[in-house]
Amino acid sequence: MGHISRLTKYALKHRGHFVGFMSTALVATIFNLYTPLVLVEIVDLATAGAAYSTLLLFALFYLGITGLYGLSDFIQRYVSALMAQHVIYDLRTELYESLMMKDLAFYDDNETGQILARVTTDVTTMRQFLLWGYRVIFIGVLNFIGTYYVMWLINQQLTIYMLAVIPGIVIFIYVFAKKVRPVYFESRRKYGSLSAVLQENVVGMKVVQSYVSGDRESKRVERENRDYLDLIVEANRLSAFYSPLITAVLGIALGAIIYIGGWDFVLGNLSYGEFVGFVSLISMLHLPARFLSWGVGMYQRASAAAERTFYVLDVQDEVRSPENPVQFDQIEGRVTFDRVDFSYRGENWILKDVSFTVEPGQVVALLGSTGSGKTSIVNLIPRFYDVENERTITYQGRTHRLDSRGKIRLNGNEYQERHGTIWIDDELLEVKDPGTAYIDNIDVRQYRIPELRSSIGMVHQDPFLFSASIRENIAFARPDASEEEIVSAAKAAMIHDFIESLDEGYDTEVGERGVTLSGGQKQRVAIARAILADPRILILDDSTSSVDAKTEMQIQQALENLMVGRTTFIITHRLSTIRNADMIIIMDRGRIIEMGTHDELVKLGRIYADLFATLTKMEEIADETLEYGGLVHG
Amino acid sequence: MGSHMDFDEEERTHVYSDWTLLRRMVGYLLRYRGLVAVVAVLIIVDIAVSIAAPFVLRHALDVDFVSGDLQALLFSSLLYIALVVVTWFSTYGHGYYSALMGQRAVFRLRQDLFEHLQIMSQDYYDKTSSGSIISRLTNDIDRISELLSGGLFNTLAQFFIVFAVGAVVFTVDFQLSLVLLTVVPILAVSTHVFRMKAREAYRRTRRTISSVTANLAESISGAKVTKTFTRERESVIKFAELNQADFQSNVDAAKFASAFFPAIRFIGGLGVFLILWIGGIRVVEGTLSVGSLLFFLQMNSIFFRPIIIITSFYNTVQSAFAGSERVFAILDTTPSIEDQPGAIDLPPIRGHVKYSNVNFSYVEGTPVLQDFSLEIEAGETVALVGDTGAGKTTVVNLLNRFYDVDSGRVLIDGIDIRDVTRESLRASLGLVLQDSFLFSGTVIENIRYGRPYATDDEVVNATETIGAKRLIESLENGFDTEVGERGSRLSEGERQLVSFARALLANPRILVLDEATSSIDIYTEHTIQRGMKALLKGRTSIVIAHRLSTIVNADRIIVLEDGRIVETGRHGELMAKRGKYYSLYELQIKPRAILVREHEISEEPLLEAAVASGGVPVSENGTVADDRD
Repeated sequence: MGHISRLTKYALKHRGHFVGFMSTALVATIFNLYTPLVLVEIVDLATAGAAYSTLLLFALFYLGITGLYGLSDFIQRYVSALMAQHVIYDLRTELYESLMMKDLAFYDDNETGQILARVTTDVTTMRQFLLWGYRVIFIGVLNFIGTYYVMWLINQQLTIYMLAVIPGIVIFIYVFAKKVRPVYFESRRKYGSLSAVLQENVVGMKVVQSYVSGDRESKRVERENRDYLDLIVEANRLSAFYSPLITAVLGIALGAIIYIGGWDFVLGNLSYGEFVGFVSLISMLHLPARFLSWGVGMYQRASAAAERTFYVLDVQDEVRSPENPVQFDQIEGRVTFDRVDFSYRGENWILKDVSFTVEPGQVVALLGSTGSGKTSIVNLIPRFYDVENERTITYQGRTHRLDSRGKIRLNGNEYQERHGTIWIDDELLEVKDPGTAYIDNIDVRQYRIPELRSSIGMVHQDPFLFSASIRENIAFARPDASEEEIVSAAKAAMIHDFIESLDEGYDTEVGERGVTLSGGQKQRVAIARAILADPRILILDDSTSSVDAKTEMQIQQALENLMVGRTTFIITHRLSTIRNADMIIIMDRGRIIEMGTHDELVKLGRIYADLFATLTKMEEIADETLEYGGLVHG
Repeated sequence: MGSHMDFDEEERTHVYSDWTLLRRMVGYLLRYRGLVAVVAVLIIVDIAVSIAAPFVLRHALDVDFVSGDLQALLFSSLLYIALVVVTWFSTYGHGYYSALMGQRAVFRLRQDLFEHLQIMSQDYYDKTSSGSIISRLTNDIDRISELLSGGLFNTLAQFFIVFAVGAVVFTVDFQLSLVLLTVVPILAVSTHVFRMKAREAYRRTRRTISSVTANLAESISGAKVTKTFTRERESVIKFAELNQADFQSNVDAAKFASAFFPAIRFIGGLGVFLILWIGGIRVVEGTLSVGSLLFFLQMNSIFFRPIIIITSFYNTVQSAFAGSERVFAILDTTPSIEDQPGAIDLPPIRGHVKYSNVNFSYVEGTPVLQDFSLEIEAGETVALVGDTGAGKTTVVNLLNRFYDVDSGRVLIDGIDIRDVTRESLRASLGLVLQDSFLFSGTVIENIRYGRPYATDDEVVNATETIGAKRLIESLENGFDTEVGERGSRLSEGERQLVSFARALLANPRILVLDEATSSIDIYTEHTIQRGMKALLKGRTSIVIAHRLSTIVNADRIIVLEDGRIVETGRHGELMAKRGKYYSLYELQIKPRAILVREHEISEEPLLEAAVASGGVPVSENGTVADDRD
C-alpha cells in the first residue's frame, strides 16, 4: 500500500501530465460509451425506414465519435508515457545519487547483481505501472460504471438483470490475483534456479568431465528442468481455464438476454436498436473486467518492485559526516589507533583492541592471513567503515555490545554494568570502552568525509579502472589536471612508455569496450592515478599477482616513487619492502600479535623472526646450489 | 532484460533454411502426436462453435423475435449458452494441452542440449564463451518455447478463423461480406507497418537502456574507487546524460506505441461505419434483416484479434528461428574427441605414464608440442615449469584427453589412452585446477563430488589428511556450510583445500594439479602446501608448478620451452646448469617465493594459538606480552 502511494507522490510531481492524461482518459471513455447509443439510433432508424441521407449522417456521426475516441485515447496514452518517463528519470537520478552516497557496508551487505536488479529490472516494473496502472484502473472503473449507466438509459429492467454479471467479474479479478499470478511468480523463481544450475554446469564443465559426473549432473538438471516444467504447465493450465471465464460469463449473459430481451421485444417494450445496443454493451464489459484484473496484477508487481527499490533510498548510512567538521588546511599524516574494535553490526568481530601510532612519512607493513583484519585496519582510516562506538565485554570468548544504558541480554537474562564492570554468572568481567582512530590526533569522525578521503589514496592489487580513456582514468581524482601533470604522474608510475606504445596513447579506451590491460599495467595506471591525487596518507594493497620480473621491478619502482614523503600502509609479501618498513605489524584473528621494526622483531625471536629465517634460508639454498649445484645431486 | 545482450554477431557455424528449422522444431512437438491430435480437434471445435454462436443470435432476432414463439426463443437462448460453455471448455482444453505439449518439447530440447554440451570436448569450451553457451540454454530456448507452446498452433488457428469466417459470411449476404473484407487488408497492412516502425524505435530504446545499465553496473562495482577519490558528483553528472538519452528515446518510441491501438480501433470503426451505412440502407430496402446486420457487426469484431495475433506472430517466428539456429548449431557440432569403436574400460592401473613422440597443435600450422617424449614412473611427482605458452597445460590436457594427440602416443601402464573409454580414463585421473571450482551446495557435498557414496568418516578422514578439518569445522556450520555460487562464500585458500579433499577422497592413481599463479597470503600458502603434500603422497603426480616450495619438493623438474623438454632434474642440478631453469627461477619463481615457510610443516603455531585462545594478548607497545607454548 505504502509503496505505491510513495510512487504516486513521484507521479504527482508531474501534476500537469497526470491531470492531463486522466482527463483525456475520461473524455475517451465518454466517447467510447456514446457509440452504442448511436448504434441503437441507426438500427431503429433503419427498421423504421428512414431516409438514406439520415442513415449516412448517423453512420458518419458514429465514425466521427470513433475518431474522437481514437484521438483522445492516443493523447492519454502518450501523455501518460511522458509522465512515466519523467518519473523514471527522476527516480533513477535519485537512486544513482543515493548509491554514490552509500557507505561500503551497503555494498558488502548487498550483492552487486542484486543492487543492479533493484535499480534496473524493478524500476522497469514500476514504469509499467506508471504507464498503465493508473489509467487501467481509472478507465476500468469508469467504463464499468459508464456501461451500466448507458444500459440503464436504454432499458432499466434488462440492466437490473445484467447486475448478475458482477460476481463473475469479481471472481475473475480475484482468481487471477490470488491463484493464477502467484503460480507464474513461482515459476519465474524456479526458472531462476534452473538457470543457476545450468550456468554452474557450463562454467564448471571441466570439473564435471574430469570427475566423470556427467550423469549425475544431467539428473540434477533434469530435476530442476522438470520442476520448472510442472510449474509452468500448471500456470498455463490455470490461465487457460480462467482467462476465458469472463468471455463465458458475458456470453451466458448474452444468451439470457436473447430470451429476456426477446420477451420484451414481443411485448413491445424493446426495439431492435435497443437490443443491438444491449448486445454491444454486454461485450463492452470485457474491457473493465480485463483492465481491472490487469491493474490489480500491475499493482501487485509494482508494489513489490517499489519496496525493493525504495529500500535502496531508505538504507541509512552508518558512516556520516559530522555536524561540525574540523577545519584544516593540510593534514600531516600521523595515524593513531587507540584500542580500536571493529565488527559488522555487532556480530563477527574483525578487530579487537588494536593500538598503534604511525608518524608522518613512515611506512607500515601489514602482515597476516586472509581475515586477520589487516584490510579492516586500512578501511577504517578513510572511514569506509567506522570503529565500534559502543562499550563491549568479552564473555566465553565472544564479544558482545552493551546498549547505551549499559545493559546487555545474554541467554535470555539481562545484565547491568556498574563502575566499568559487569557480573555474569559469578564472573566479573571488565567492560571495554570504545576505541578511536585518529589522524593528526583528531578523531577521524570529526573530519568532513570528502576532505578526509581526498587526503588518503588507495591502490589495490586488482585496481578497478573505469571504461574510459587512460587519461581520464589517471585524472580521475583531478579532472582538471594539465597534460604535463598527467604525463609526469604516468612517468613516475613507470607506465608512460607503455601508454605511448599504444596506438591512441593516452586516449586509448580501457575496460569492457576498450583494450584489456594486464594486472601489472592496471596496477601502474592506478599508481599514476594516486600520484596525481597526491594524498598525504597512502594505502597500498600489493599482494602481487603473477607478473614477469621486468613488470615486477617497474611496479616496485613505481611504488617507491609513490611512497616518498607519505604515510604509507602497505599490505605486501615483498621482503625488501617489509624489511625497510619503519614498522611491521603482524595480525592474527583481529589482533596485533607482533609489532616493531625489522631489527626489533628479529631480536624478539618469534613469528617474524621465524618467517624471516625461513626466507633467508631459502635464498641461501638458492645461492648455495648456484655455487655448488653440480655437486649436490651429483 | 538480457535480450539486448544478444550474441547476434557471433559467427554462424551452421546455416539452415527456415524450413529446416521449422521442421526440426515441429519435430520436437510431433513426439507428442496424441496431444497434437487432441489440440487440433479442440481448436476446430472451438472455431466451429464460435462461428455458430452469431448464427444463433441472428436466428433468434430474425425468426423468434418476429414469430413471438417463446418456446423457440428459450431454445435459442439455451443453445447460445450451451455454445458459450462449449467454447469455454474447448478454449481451456487446447490452451492447456498445447502448453503441455509445447513445454514438454522445450523440456526435451533443453535436456538434449545440456546433455550434448556434456559430451563436447574441451576445445569447444576454450573457443566459446560460457556466457554465450548459457544464453543458448536459456534465452534462445525461451524464444523457441514461445513458438512451440501455444504460439504456433494458436496462429494457425487464427488463419483458420480468418478463412472460415471469410467463407461463412458469404452464405449470409454477398454484398456486406465484400464490405467486411475490404477492411481486412487495410488492417493487416497498417498493423504490419506500425510494427516495423515501432521495432526501429524500440531498438533505439534498447541501446539507450543498455548504456544506462552498463553505467550502473560499473558504478556499483567501482563504488569504492569513486569514494576514495571523492568523485561522486562527476559520476552523477555523467549518469544524468545517459539517463536523459534513455528518456528521450523512450518518449520517441511512445509516440508509435500510443498511436498503434487507437489507429487499429479506428480502422475497426471504419468497418462498423460501412456496415451500418450500407447495411442500414439494405434494412430500409428490406433486403437485409436486423439479425444479419448484427451478425455482420459481430463478425467485424471477430476479425480483429486474429489479424493482430497473426502480425505479431511474425516477430515470434523470427526470433524463434534465430534462437533455434543457434541451438541446433550446437546440437549438430560433434565433439572432436569421441570414444573409439570397441574402446575398453581402463583396468585398475599402477600409474605409469609415458608420452611417446607426441606432436600436437591447437591451430594447424602452429605446433605446441613437438616430438615430445616423457616417462613418469608410478608414484613419481614431476613439476612442469616454463613460460606461459611453453606447453605445460597441453601436456596434462592430452593425458585427460581433453584433446587428442596429432601423432605419437600417450600410454598409461602401457595402454594407449585412445583405446580406452574417456569415462574410465578420467575416473582414474584426478584433476585439481588452479581456480578451484566448487558447486553450490555444502562443503561436504563438494568433497563427496567424486565419490557420492563416501561415508562421513571417509570425508572427515580425507579432510584431516589434507589438514583442513579444523578450518572447515571453524566455518559457520562446519561441514554443512553452504559454499555459495562457485564457492564464493569461502576464501581462496578454503576453496583450494576443499578441492584437495575432494580429489583425495576420489583417490585417483594419477593426479594432475594446476597450481595457482596468483600468490595467496603466507598462512594460507602454508596450509595449502601441507595439504598438497598429503594429496600427492603415493600417487603419480604431474604438477604445473609456480611455487618454489612445490618445485623443490618434486622428484623431478621438467623444464619446457616452446613445446620441448629442455632440461630435467632437481632444483640444485638445474640451478647449476644456469640454463633455462635458472632464468625462470630468477625471473618468475623467486619473486613469488617470498615468505613461504616450508620447513616445520607439522607445526602450526599461529593457527594453533589463535584457535585455542581466540587471539594472543598484546601489551601496550604492541609486542607479545606473555610467552605461551
